Order: sequence, then structure tokens, then C-alpha cells
Amino acid sequence: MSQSLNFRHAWIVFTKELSDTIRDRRTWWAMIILPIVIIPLMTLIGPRAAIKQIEDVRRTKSNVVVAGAERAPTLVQFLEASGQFNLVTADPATAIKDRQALAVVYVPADFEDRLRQEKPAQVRVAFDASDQKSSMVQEKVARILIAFSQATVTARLQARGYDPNLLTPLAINVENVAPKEQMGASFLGMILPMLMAMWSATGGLYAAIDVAAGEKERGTLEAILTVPVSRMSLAVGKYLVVVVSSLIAAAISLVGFAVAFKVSPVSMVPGQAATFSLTATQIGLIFLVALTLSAFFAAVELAVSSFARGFREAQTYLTPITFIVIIPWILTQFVSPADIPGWYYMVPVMNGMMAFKELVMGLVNPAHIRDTLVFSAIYVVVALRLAGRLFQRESVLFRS
Amino acid sequence: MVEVQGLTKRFNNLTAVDGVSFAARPGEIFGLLGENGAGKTTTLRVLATVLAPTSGDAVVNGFSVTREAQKVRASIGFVSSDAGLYDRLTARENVAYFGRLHGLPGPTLTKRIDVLFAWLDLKDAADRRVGKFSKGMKQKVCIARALVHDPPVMLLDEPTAGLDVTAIHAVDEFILRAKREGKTIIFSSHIMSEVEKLCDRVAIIHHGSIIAAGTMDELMAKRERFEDVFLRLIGGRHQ
Repeated sequence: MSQSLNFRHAWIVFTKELSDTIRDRRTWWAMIILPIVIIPLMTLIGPRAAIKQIEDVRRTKSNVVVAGAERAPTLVQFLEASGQFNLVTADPATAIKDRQALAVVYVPADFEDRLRQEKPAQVRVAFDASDQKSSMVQEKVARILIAFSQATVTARLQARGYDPNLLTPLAINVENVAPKEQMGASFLGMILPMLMAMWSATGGLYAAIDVAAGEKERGTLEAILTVPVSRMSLAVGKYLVVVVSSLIAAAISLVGFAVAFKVSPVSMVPGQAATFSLTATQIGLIFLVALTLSAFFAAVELAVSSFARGFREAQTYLTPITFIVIIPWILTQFVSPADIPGWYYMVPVMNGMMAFKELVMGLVNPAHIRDTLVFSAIYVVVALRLAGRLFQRESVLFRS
Repeated sequence: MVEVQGLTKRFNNLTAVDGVSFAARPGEIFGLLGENGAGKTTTLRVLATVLAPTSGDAVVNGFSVTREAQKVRASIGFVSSDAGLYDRLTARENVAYFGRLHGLPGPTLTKRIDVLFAWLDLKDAADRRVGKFSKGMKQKVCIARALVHDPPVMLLDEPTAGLDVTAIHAVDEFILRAKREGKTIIFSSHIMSEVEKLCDRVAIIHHGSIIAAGTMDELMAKRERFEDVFLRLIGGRHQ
């Protein structure tokens, strides 16, 4: 049986499968609707909810119980003067559990006496570490207690005629030198590789299932095999449709992300006004890397799909592919590009993600891009060979 | 012209076709009659180059199915009973896809599709998506698709199975027209009356082997009904 590739045949198969795919609602769902809807949801609403909680605690007065308030009038007055708390009366043992307060300050009976005697007074702060709001209020309380402590020290020093600066040999200022662009890029470097890889993988999924397993299930495969077209030409035409679908999905997810970032940059990087821009070269390289990822996933998906008996079986085999994407992402999301070992750029999927990360952060390392492209090309050829071979095996073609 | 010589096809331990030989001539409808699972479909699939024979060979329109598969493919139109279509494409698009793969240039293809659709009474449905077509209409589209390149050989595997009377009549008329045009037609069926109605010569296939072959007259020389001949031959094998 002829195995040679005929480009005209592959092109006829490609155009037919493309128009067939475009008419399939499921493809639209996976390729366009999901990336357009889910990305803004993920990137805007998710972080926004977290930010809202932080702002809530920061802006409003938080309920706090001081157990033994009558024994520590100076401390109570200091807490009230900070204007950050509502001091409520409740049973300290159950106040946090019953949500009457977010933190409880326990004051010992001899609090004022020990202050006067200039001995350490034990103050205990109870909170619920499993509750984010309670944790934040605890931090707020601790800050005010430290301020109270410092005010007391200052008063004592002044009473003895010392300069309070005696205890502050260093004035420390921490400064973030990362430009706004890099703050944005660092966050994007974490999340973008995931999104691009995810949509490179899922964008072509339905097309892959439809053109191979679907052809088998509909009973059109037998007819197409009696046409004087090499099976390699068939495989390549179908393969290109899967690649194009993946690429479109990846491109749409990138555009959706860029729009979301423009609309609400602050929500993307909590607490920071980050900006983000890419040069034309970077965008070009990002799409080149997206192409290699799409090319790889498409070949794997087509190989698996042509092995399956029908839609359902193909779907069962291919669903885990989204988890395969998540694994290298979890391994590398917090790794800075400078710390990435060179061999990462030789591992399928991982190399694409790492290259994305570098490119988004403005680093163009020719050796890494070369390795990513060369090794991806090798994996694509291997996977495509497998898909092409499966199209030629009777046992696979007629498994039903 | 189709010549089958000692054709055998094995799947693992199962011998589906066992040393089958026969010949069909241009302008002739050659029937393959047998029960379900007798080996008719496997034989036709080998002739259509979808399956490779384990041993033996077949020459279709002068080309060997084992050595010149691509040329065989250009010479045949293969229709099976459970063939599918692309539901999201129109009838015309389904047929045109195969026409383009056969290398028909645009204007020729359009004309050919118009002719086939006129013969098969599909003109009104030509530009509708086939997803909601009746079984009979789908089968007509399958036939048009298989014959879009006007092949000299037609391989028909139970082409009328599951169709209603009107559709069967249309398909029968189409097959007889092809016969008049001088095509070599191999027609498989498990229904004796169908074979009786259309075929010039018949081979009865059972458990992968041909147990009787000849013209309708030869097989019915004893003036028995054809069905009785068929059952007697098969029954004899069972004992």
C-alpha cells in the first residue's frame, strides 16, 4: 500500500475536515466559547474575590473580644484609639466559633501591675488559622500590640532621660526595584504557560476525535479507504485540521487574556498596578512555541483517536490529557526561569511551558528556544508516524 | 473484469475466506449469495483493497489487489449496507469530496454529480445536509459517492439491506443501468429473491468457501426453486 504523501490529497482532506469541523457545535464550544468565557472568569473574578476579602478586613472595623478588659484599661484604650476594631463583649471561649469576633485577646489579672513594675506581661491572642479573615485580623491585632509595646518602651526611655532612637540603630526601608512590567510579567509567566498549553491540548480535542474515531463510528472510514489516496495523505490532512483548531483556541485564549489584563490589571496582580507588554518578536516566538505544543498534542490526540473504536472510547482515553498538562505546570509554576535546568527544554509539553515563561518575562534565550523547537519537532514526527501507522493497520481500523 | 484466484483471509484464528476463486465479466451482474457471516463482506473488502488477503490474489480491471492497490481503487466503486456519510455536509458535498480525491476536475465533477443525482432522484435534496435523510436517501448518496468517478467495476455489499420497496426499486434500476453500460458488477446478498432478480451468474458462499457456482439456469436446471437449491447446498454442508 502506498505510503507516500500527496500534498494535493492532504489539502483536499484538510479543507473538507475543516468545514466539517466548523459546522460542529462541539468544536465551537471547545475552541472558542470556553477560552473566551472561562479565562476572564478565572483571571478576573477569582482574584477579585480574594482582593475584596482583603479590602474588607482592611477598611472595616473588625470585631475583637478582649477577655479581662476591665483589668487592662490602658491597652483597651490603645486598641480603641487605633480605630481598627470594634471591641465586643462575648464569651471568649466561643466568640470565634460563633463568629461574634475574629480574634480574642486574653489579658492576665496582673496586667497593669506588671506594666508598672516594668516586667513582661503575658498577652495571648486567639484566632482561627483555618479562616483567612480571622488570620488577617490576628495580624492586625498583633501590629497594634507591637505598637503598644513600642510606645511603652519609648515612654520608659524618655522617663529615664534617654533618646528613644537609642533602640533603633537601623532605619530599614525595603524597596521593590522590579519595574511594573516585570511585576505583570512574573504573574503572567506563572499563569500563561498553563493557559496556552491547556488550550493547545483541548482546542483540537473534538476535531481529533471526530476525524479519526468519528470516521470509524460513522462508517465512512471504509469508503474513504477505497479511494486512491495514500493513508499518509489522509492522516496528514486530518492532522492539520487538529493543529489548526488547537492553534485557534490558543490564540483566542491569549487574546482573551490580554483583554482581561487591559480591563483590570490590578485584579491580576493583587495589590500591584502592573503593566504588561510584548514586542512583536516575543509574540512571534510565543506563537511558534504554541505551534509546537499544538503540533505535539494534535499528533498524540490523532494517534489515540484513530486507535479508539468510537467517540466515547476516544473521549475516555483523551480526557486525561488535561491532567497531563497540569503536572509540569505544578512542578514549575513558581520556578524562576533562571533556575530552570537545561533538560527541561527537552521534555515534551514541559519545554513549551518553560519557553512561554521565559518569553513572557522578556527573556529570549536562543539555546532554549532552539532545544524547545528541535525536541518538539522530534516528538511531533514520532507521534505523527504512530498516527499514520495506526491508519494503516487493519486490526486498528476494524476493531469494532 | 474481476478475477479472484485462491483468495484466503484469516483474522487471528478465524478463516473468514478460504481459497475463493471466481470471475465476473463486463456487462454482467455476478451474485455472491450466502448467509450472514459466510465471508461475502470480507471477500468484497479484499477486492476493494480495504483488507489485504492472507494468500491468493484478485485482479480487478487488470490490476492486482496485492500489488497495485491504488490502481484498483481508481477502478472500483464500493457500496456497503452500513456505509456512513458525513452528516454535517450536504449530499453534494459528500459526493464532491470523493470526486476531488479521485482527481476529477471541478466542471466535470459538477456535471457528473448532476447526472448521478438525476438518475437516483436526489436532485431536490442535493444541497441539504444528509444528517436527517432517510435510510434510503442516504444509501442513494452512498451509491452516488461510490460511482462519482465512473468506475468500470462496482462492488455492492448488500446495497439494498434495510431499504423500503421504493428505494430498493430505485437502486435495482440503477444497477441494471450500470450493467447496460458494460460495467462489471459484483452483488452480494443473503436474500435469494434479490439475487434471482438481478444476477446473471451466482456463487454460493458458505463458511468462507464457494460451494456452488454457475448461471441461474444451471443452478436451477432441476426446475427447483432457487431457494431450495440454496438450502439444499447449505444443508448438505451442515451434515
